[in-house]
Parts: sequence; structure tokens; C-alpha cells
Amino acid sequence: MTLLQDPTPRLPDRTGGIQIVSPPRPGKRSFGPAILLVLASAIAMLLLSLLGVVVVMAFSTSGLSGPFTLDNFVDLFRSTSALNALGNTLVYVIVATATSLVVGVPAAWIVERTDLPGKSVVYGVFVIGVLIPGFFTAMGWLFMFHPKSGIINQILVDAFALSGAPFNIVSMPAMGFVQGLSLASVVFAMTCTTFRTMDVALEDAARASGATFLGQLRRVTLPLAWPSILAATLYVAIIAFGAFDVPAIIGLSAREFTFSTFLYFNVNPQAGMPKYGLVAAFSTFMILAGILLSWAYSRVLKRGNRYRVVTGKNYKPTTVGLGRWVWAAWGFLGLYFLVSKVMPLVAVMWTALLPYLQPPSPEALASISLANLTGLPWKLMLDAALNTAIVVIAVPTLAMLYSAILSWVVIRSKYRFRAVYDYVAFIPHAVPTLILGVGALLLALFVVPQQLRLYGSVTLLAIVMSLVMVSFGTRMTNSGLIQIHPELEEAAAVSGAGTFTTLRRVLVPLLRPTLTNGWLWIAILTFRELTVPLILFSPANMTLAVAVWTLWSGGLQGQAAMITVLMLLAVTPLALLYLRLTRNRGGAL
Amino acid sequence: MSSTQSPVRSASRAGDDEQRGTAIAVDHLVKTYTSDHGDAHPRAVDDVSLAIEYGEFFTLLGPSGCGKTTTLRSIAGLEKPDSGEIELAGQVVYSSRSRINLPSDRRRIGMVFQSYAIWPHMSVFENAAFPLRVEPRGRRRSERAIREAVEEALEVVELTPFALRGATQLSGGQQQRLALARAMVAHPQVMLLDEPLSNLDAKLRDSMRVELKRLQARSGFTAVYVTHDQTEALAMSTRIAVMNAGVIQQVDSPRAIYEHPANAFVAGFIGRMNFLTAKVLAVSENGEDGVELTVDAGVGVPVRARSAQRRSLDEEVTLCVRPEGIGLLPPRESSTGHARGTVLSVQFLGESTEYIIRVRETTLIIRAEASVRFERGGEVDVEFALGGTWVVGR
Repeated sequence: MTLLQDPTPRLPDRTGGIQIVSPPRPGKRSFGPAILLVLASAIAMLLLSLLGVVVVMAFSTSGLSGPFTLDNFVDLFRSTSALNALGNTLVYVIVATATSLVVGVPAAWIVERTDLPGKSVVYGVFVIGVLIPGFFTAMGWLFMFHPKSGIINQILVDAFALSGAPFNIVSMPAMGFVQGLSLASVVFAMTCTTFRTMDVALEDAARASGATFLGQLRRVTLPLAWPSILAATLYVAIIAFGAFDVPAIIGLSAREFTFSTFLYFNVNPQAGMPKYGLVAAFSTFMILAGILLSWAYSRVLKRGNRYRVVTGKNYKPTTVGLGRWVWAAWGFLGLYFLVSKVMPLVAVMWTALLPYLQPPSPEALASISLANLTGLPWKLMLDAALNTAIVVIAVPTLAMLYSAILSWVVIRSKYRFRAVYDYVAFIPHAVPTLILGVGALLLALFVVPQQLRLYGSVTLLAIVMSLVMVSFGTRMTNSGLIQIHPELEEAAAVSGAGTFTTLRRVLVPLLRPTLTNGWLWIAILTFRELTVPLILFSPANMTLAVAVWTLWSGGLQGQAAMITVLMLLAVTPLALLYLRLTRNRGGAL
Repeated sequence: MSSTQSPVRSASRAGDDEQRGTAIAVDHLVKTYTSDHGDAHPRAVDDVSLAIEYGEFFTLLGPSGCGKTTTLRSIAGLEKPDSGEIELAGQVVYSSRSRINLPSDRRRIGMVFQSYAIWPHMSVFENAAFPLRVEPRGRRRSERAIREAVEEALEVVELTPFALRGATQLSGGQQQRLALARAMVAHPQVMLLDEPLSNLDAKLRDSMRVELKRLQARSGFTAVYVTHDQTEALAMSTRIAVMNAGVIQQVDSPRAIYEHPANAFVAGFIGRMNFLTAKVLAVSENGEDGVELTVDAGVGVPVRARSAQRRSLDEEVTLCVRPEGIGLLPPRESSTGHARGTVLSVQFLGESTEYIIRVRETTLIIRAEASVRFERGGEVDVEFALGGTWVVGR
């Protein structure tokens, strides 16, 4: 099956006449597929080494060279804070997943299957929702509902003369809720496809058989959509499980740890040495948990294929007339947008213009100024902006290159173990990003020769982030490649084009829209990414997101809010461009 | 069916002068697909051997999954067989024994795909020019030569006015013709066609059939044509190989395949056929088409039929009768040699009428000229002509 095993084709010894086809020149065999396989393997090895170093560390006493030991695991189980973090993470994941489903699934159904006016707006807002940095919404929520200084809490206490704050955002369920509101976008995108491609005839048949509208919804529509809802559930659970921004911004200062913040706290302790061993031991468990969840996810996806709701041919979208219910539908969606997007946005902007956090009042209005902007440490900010620009260009370029190579091996080659590359490409999703960051940190500290000065460099940051983005990239290049009929490449091959000519002249041009959209999407994700830059942080590689974090944890909330607003302004044109390019709802997500 | 020695040939393009000998030799080809879980499926191609002469229009015919497309793709180099040998124009392009597997791009073939595989990001002209543009540097023609060759190819398929259009602006039939032009532009000796007409509507299919034959006659390429449509196969081919479950059932001219199928599968796959279990009553040796037999087919009268092989007395055989090979006559009192039957149903089809007739325990489908008229429920005499009957093994 593989071309690798073939020796150089030799001239046949039994040809009778003159050759009219020029004989194959020795050494001119098709190396193309083999080179791609080698590259894909290198990428896969890099990714696996990030995990491997963590696991090795978990069983070592000091550094990577220490003798084998289980001490780290003993420490882990004795640590009440670690066990607390584990329990917290569970609560966090459950609340976040439930919230995202409650919002995302009905929204998807409304947009795809009803005659709601203004659908493209809804779609756009959901896509933008994914692009808004997690630390941004987290800040907004903290500004609104901090138990002591939260604006809305203060307003309510004053208005109703309450003895204490009615809301407390600094709790696991509340943080889970905030996370869930932003994950609703992901659920929305994943279930949209199902509702869109569902064969309307199946629903019509239910109605024709005498089912009421609700009966049809319960007995046909939802069961048909169930596999994809379940898949979306597991998918967002995996994200929530490794989420960092929200628990870091809201919970870290109050010592309310989830797994990720616990990890971060122990790598960057406020006192003492980093507890790499403990962190690695904890991570090893989380790697297992992540792989288990992903395995369940892939099982659900496979089983979902049996339903084959996609019919493809003769698809006619028919929609449910909402009638007076249009107000209910818009009320539901409007409330979601207001609560999850508009309110945090207003709160952050408000804070950015004020010297300290305070509810709206004449004095507050009087103190509005751009002091937070002019007072910024500009030298630092310009360095951060430059570093951000470097990664925003380098990361999507590298990630799309890796993704295209991996996808080609997975989708197009006939290598026996090609599926393995698909699983490896999913690792950055299955395993909390923070762990990959820790792995990179350990590699740079203990494995890579120090002369390379990789530790703390922008280069390291770009490499690790591009590997992390491979799970997004391959999802896009996979589906892009699947949509390109293999016969288009085969036609090039029988026309006399070798592997690389085929890639250059046929495959890449056909894949260009996917590559462009993917590049843009990953560029935006990179721009707002906090986790990896923070764990790999050094003064030399600070990005804007890390700058926000530094100001935030230094107590400069107003300045942090100001940079966040500026970042949001900077990313808006990119996001609008992405929306324009994917207007026919190809949306990646 | 091993390949003959390839004759001396000029290096000029195909069709300039009559070439003789084997253009494509497939020798004991085997291909098994393994699923992702690693367990082996039955052989997709099971010990297939073919020798296709220059200038032939050779059709691989069979139901889906019979291995015809896998065989074609193995010839094209798009599929790597497990074992066997393939020779194109005298050159071994695949041999499991000598460990040779030439990639597709070096086999110098033309191929037309089921989906047409027209590149949407190129113009009509560029699509057709592609095989010339990717020729190895040493052999690549000048821009002018390429232009001339492409213009010629487009003219042959009557697409000249569309040369500068985007390929996606073409209709299905035009895309099909462009695919042909692209496959022919480098004048390959061997043209492989994978169900090229199956995506066209019926009318267009008929005209493209004629078109294809015309192009082949003009360019003189050797065509290997894959289809599951027996009408296409019968109409276009010089020879047909009928395949089933990876095995070649019969290789013969269209007429021979239709009139003298080698077994019940071929008989049933090509056209419609009545199958009757029968017993050999008498054997006589005359006839060029094989043995002439008299069999008892349970219709009340002995039936005369031919068979390719010798049959012994009392042997159980299958009698094959085409619907148009049975005559219907008004019932007569003293009809000897005619079976008596009852009309179960009548379907008027315009140019003919189709009857379902019950003769004793047997139900027969009979196609009669429209002028023949019988009522449902009535009695008829059924006549088996010697030319319309054929015996195969059970």
C-alpha cells in the first residue's frame, strides 16, 4: 500500500520491441507522498513530545533526569487544594456545558428552522462571540457582579437597601455560567449544521402521521439531532475542562481554583519554587481524562453517522412560521446577546474610562477621562504589540501549513496508520492547552540545549501556539479536502503531473478559500490567546493578552480594561473580514 | 491469457498507422481492500487477466462492486494491486514480482472520470492544456505548440467557442467533452473511461455514445471503458468483459455475449432473460455454434436449443430464452411442437407489447411486436425458435 516500500522501478526484462514510452529513469520515483508523511510525522512527534515530557516529569523526583518515583502522585493525593480544584473543575464543567446547551441548541433551531427575520445578524453575533477574548467577558462580569465592588451589585444594594451583595460572581457555578455563555456559540455552530441538513421530509412525515408540532419536535426532530447535540456536549465539556481565562480573571485572586488555575498557580507560585512534579502528576491525570472524553466524542460522532440526516440532494429548506412567537424568539436571543455580550462590553468600557471601579453617578461621570490610556506603560505596550504582531502572522501560517500536511495524510494518502495522525491532531483539543504549555516549558528548560535560547523566546511561543492551533486548523483542512473530489487530483496524476505539481497546480488553488478562512480564524484566536503566552511568559515575549493579565494582577484594572478595549478595536476589522468571507455560512468554529 | 510480445512501433502518435498487437496486458491481477480495522474483504479483483489489442474499444461490464473500476484504476496506477502484472504499450507499469509500480503520472495515459474532474479554478483552455504543461522539462513543447494542440483538441470536441470561459460555466455534456479533450490532448495510446456517461441525462447519453465512437475512430486510441449499462456496452464495444465479484465471467464480442452467454450470470446481466430448469433429452453434434440439444423444460413439449459445451443425456441444465426469442400464436386444436399457455398480463409499450404467459408451472416474459394482440386471461400457443434458445450449466 505504501510507495515507500517499492524499490526503484526497473526496466522490464521482457519487452519485445522499441519503447515508445520513455523508460523510467532510476531515482525518479514519486517521493512526494513519502515527504509529506515524514513532515506529518515530525509534526505529530513534536505534539506528542509536549505530552511525553509532562508524563516523564510526573514520575521523576527532580527535573527530568531524576530517578523513577511515585512521590509526585502521593503529594497530589495528599494535597487538599488539588482535590478541591478537581471538585471545582467538575462543577465548573457541568454548569458551563449545561448553560451552553440551553442557549445554543434552541438558538440553532430558531435560526435554521424558523422564518425569524434578521438571521444573518444572529449568526454574525454568535461567530463574533467565539472571537471575543475570554478574559474580556470575564472582566466585564467581575466589574458587574464582584461581591464588594461590582457595579450592578452596588446599584442593587443602594436601590433596595440590601444588607449584602445579591450576586457573587466569584463562585464556581457563576464562573461556569459565564464560560457557558461564551461556549453557547460553539454549540450553536455545531448543531446548526444538523438542523440545516436534516431532511424535512422526515419531519413532514411525522406531521402527516398525526403528530402535533411539539410531538414532532420531541419524537423526530430532537432524536434525529441527538447525536450531534451529544457530540457538541462532549466537545464543549472538553473546552470548559481546560478553560483558563474565566477562572483566572475571576477566581484566581480569591484562591478559587479550577484545574487550569491550580496548574498555573503552582508553576508560578507567589512564594517558593515551582512545583513541576506535582503539576505534572496532576496533568497526567488530566491527559487521561481528556483522552477519555475525546474517545467518547469520537464514538458519538461515529454513531451519529448511522443516522445520516444529511441528504444532500433535493434539499429544500422549509421553515416553521413563527407568527406571534417571533417576539419570544427575539426576546430569547436578545436577552442572550444583552447579557453575554453587551453588558460585559459596557462594563469594561465604563471601567476603562474611570480611575477606579464605581457605579454610574454624577461624580463618576465627572471623573471620566482617558487617564488609563495616557498612563499606560507605552514602551512595554509597544513591545507587546510587536510580539503580538509576530505571533499573529507566524502562528496561523505555520498552523495552516501543518494542518494541510496532516489532513492530506489523513484524508488522501493510503498509509495504513493514517488515522493516527487525525487523533494526534486532536490532542491540543483533548488535552487542556495549559498542559501543552507546561510541556513546552519543561522541554525548553530541561531538554533543549540552553544555547538555543528557546526558553522565554517569541520563537518558542510561535511554535507552541501553532501546534496548539493544529486541532482547529485540521478540522477546517479536513472538511475542505473532503469536499474536493479526489478525481480532481487523479485527473492531474493521469495527465502526467507528479505529487508536488498536483499539489501546487490543483490542490492548493482549490483549497485556497479554506486556507484563507482558516488562516484568518486562527489569527484572531492567536491574537486573543492568553493561556500559552502566559505559561511561557518572559519579559522578552510578552504579548498584549499577557500585558492585560500583568496589569490586571497588579491591581491596575482600569488600564487592563483599556488595553482590552483597544485589542477589541484592533481585532474588529479581522472579524468582519472573516464574516464577509464566510457569509454563505461555511463558518469554521 | 498472457501478453503477446509487443511489436515494433513508431514513436509517432497513435492512429497514424494501424498498429497491431497488445496495447494493454493485464496478467493475474489481484486486489483486496482492507478495512480500517485491518480485516480483509473478499477480493475486489480476483485473478483477472486481459489482453486488449490496439484500436479496440474494450468494455468492462458488471454490476457495481464487481471490480471493473478497481481493474481500470489499477491500469491507471491510481490503485495499487496486491499482485499480478500490467503492461501498457509493451512497458511493464506494474509487476508484483519485479516490484515495479509506475506512478500514474508516468504511465502516459488519458483518463475520463465519472465526475468529469474538470478543475473549477482553470479556464476551459487551461484544463485541456494541463497534460501538456506538466510534461517533463525536456519534452515540454513550446507555448505555441501547446496552443495548437489544445485548439485542435477543443475543435475535435466542438468546444472551440468556449476556450476562454471558466470551466464551471460549462454544462454537464460540455464538461464531459472537455474531459475528453483533456484526456486526448497529449495523444495517449491508451484511453481509460470510468463510467463517463453515467452522470448525463438519457438523451445526452445517446448522443455522447455516438460522439465517443466517432472520436475513437478519428484518433485511433485504444479505449478501456467501464460501465454498468449493458446497452452502452453492447452499442460501443469491440469486445466486452463481463465481470462479477471480481472475476471475469466472459470476454467476447457484444453479439456473442448477447446470444451465447457463458453462464447464467452473463445471460441475466445482459438484457432480459427467461430462465427455465431443463433436462437434456437428446444431443446432436451439428452446428457451428456448438452442440444442438433437445431439452425438457417443463413446458409440455420438447424444446430445441444450442449449447457451447457438450452436454450428457439427462443432465440438468438451464434453458435461457430471450423475451423476443419466443413466438406467440393463436391457439390451434392440433398444435404439435407448441406449448399451450395462459396470458397473465399484457403491457402495451408502444413499439412492442410485453406479455406474461403461464405455461404449466413456468411463467415466461415475452416481447412481441405491437401487431400481435392477445387478451388477458386468454389462451395462446408458445413457440420456441432454435435461434432464441441457449443452454448454460446449472
